[in-house]
Amino acid sequence: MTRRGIHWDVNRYTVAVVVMAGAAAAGVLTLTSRYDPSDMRKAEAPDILSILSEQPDTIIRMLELDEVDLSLPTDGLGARVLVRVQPGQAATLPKSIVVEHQGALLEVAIEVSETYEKYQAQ
Amino acid sequence: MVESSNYAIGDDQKDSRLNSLLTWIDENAEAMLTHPNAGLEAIGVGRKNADDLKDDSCDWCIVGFVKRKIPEKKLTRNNVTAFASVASAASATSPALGAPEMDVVETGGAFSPLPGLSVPIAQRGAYGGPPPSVDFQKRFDALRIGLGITNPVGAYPNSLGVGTLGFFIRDGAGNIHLVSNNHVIGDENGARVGNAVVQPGTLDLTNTELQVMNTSSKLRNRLQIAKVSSVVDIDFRAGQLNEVDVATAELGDERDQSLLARIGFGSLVQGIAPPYTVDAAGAVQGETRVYKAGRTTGWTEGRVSAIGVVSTVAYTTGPARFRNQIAIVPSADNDGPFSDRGDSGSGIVDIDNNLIGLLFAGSSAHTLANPIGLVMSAIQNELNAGPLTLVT
Repeated sequence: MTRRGIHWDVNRYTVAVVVMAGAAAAGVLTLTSRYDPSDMRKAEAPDILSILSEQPDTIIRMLELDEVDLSLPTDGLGARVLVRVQPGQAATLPKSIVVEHQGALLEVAIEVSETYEKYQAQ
Repeated sequence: MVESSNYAIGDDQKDSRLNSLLTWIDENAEAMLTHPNAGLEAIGVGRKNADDLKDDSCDWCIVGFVKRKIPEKKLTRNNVTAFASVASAASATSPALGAPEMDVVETGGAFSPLPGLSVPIAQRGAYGGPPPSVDFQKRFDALRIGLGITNPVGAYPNSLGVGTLGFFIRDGAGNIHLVSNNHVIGDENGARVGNAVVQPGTLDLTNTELQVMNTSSKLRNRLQIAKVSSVVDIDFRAGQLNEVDVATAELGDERDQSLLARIGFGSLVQGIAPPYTVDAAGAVQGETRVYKAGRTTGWTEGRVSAIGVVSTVAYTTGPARFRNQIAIVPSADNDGPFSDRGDSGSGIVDIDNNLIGLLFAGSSAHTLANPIGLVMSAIQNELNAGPLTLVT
């Protein structure tokens, strides 16, 4: 089934997650663990905070970008990861990704902003 | 200086000499201030030859405020009656108190009210310009939060630098340490325990000061305030994640330590704020209006815009990746950025003056801060000197 840009190929209890990059596929992440698809849920803000803390590199690898920063906006407008990228890179990124975190399969909403600037030690 | 006989100064109020003088003022002020040749603007009780009421090495005395002090031998020529003579004549009505000690203080002009200006329209602009703020770049006798500092070891005088003194902590043995960034006083992992920390930062020295203190040794002799006591290393290896950019330095006794909790010339730091948490939708729990006093941009106001930030920060040594950071944007009422180069090391407080983070990096739009809980934990582990408490 297709759900929010993520293709699910259900083979009994094994799920292969395909991360779509807009119209074209930007990469494929295959989870090696076995999951019941019904375990998947939308990530809430505390989940996202925990993912950003414990496995930020997982998200960065999935996005296939080096020059990026990730954060959880505190505006209360919905739980999502704000991904700041350089101009022209937004179109290549998905609207959500699926992450295995603490034994759960979480769909993490992505908001992309082409406002990346490298931080400088001040 | 005391300008009112009703001024209360705690235990000193019990001082019988002070009480006598306050009574003397009550009884004689009118006669003295209306004396035709005294030229007195005000009288009060103060410490003789001292500006600090708590300087108990100086005796209490009656202080006469005059626009301009005149040498005693020129008083007659200027038709001015000596303050002592005026006081003596006045005190004839209350001889039991005896002749009090006197001091004369120059005010430079008449006392005048300081509320809002009202000027003719032709003078519009004459009083304009930005209001003065605290100059955190100069040398301070009394150390406090927000001052410019640096570790000059190995760099000075060929290279100059400055960052900001963030706040102070007390270790388990009672020693006080200042807290700033590794890249301010820890030389990006290159500093050694015992290295000098100076205030002001070497970048803020005048040409004359640079000439006078033209060696590291002369600089330390004049401006050292602390010695590096711990440096939490930044891991610059690719793929490694950092959480803090922090180092500490143990204070020496070179400067006044009575104002360590004061943020610039403002109020006192109160404590440590709990970590930010979020509800399911991402609305943050905790006070997100934040402030800092820093060497470069001074006192600024901002708003926490994101937490859990993962990003790469460019250092002199190279890039380093951080996680669990706090992003701050300037508030609508703040002119300019929340921070700029030289502000690194600033302690960031919330509206209740509780510390929320340690400023260490920025872009044109955002400032990054290490969460204060992670900062304190990292120092605790690195310093290994018993439980730490914030100096408040």
